[in-house]
Amino acid sequence: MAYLRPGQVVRGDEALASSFAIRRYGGPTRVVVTTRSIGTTVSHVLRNNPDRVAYRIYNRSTNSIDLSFSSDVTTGAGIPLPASTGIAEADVEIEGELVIQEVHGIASGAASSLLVVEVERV
Amino acid sequence: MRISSYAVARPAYYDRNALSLMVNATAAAVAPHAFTTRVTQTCPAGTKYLWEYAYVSIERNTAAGVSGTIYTIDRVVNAAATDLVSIIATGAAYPTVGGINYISTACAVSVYPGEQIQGLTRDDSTGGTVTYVIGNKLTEYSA
Repeated sequence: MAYLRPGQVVRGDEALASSFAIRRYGGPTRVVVTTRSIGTTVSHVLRNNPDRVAYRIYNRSTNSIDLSFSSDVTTGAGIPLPASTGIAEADVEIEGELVIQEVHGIASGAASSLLVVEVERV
Repeated sequence: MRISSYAVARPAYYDRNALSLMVNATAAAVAPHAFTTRVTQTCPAGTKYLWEYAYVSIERNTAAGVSGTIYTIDRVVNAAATDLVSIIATGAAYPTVGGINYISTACAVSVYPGEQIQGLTRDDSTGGTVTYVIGNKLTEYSA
């Protein structure tokens, strides 16, 4: 039997974006902004998070970065994120459960900075 | 996962640290001579030139004993110095004192690192003097 929680119902006094998010994602969401430093060995960009509904990853470094959903990614063989300008994004409405999965990254140079913006259910 | 980029297009050449260059030479009242280089301009590494305008002129100052062909040449030589192309040139006899002959052209010649722009003159006459003017307008920019 499915339960309808209070947070899944639009009360009518929320901000427009909040009421939209409740309807779209079945409840309220929050935005989490973090910075990751990726080196020349594989490390996590995103951890597995079943509450995540969308994310966007910006490569702010001057090094190219390869992304993957597995930890065996190598430089030049993953999902390419170009230096200085690359953006990787996923949304549950387009990518489905892919948005929940962890993302690994490896950079072509040390201390490569990524800006990560996540939207997750609260 | 979707990948995109916020890269902007590379600026046009005139917005890439552009520098206006004038490569000029004047040789006044010069006696007959073999090919003589009057001015050179070598394109440095990391930059390119757009050669936009070239001008050459001659004026006979004093009469020749025997009038010969007078040359004024503006040319570009490749980086290996094995080949060249003349962009503009005069080549004729000008026996009349006070007579001026000039040629100018707008051009769009790309000059690459190591290539050299040269201005040369030559006078096959016997005696007499000629004034030569060579003028070039270039834009140097980041390669």
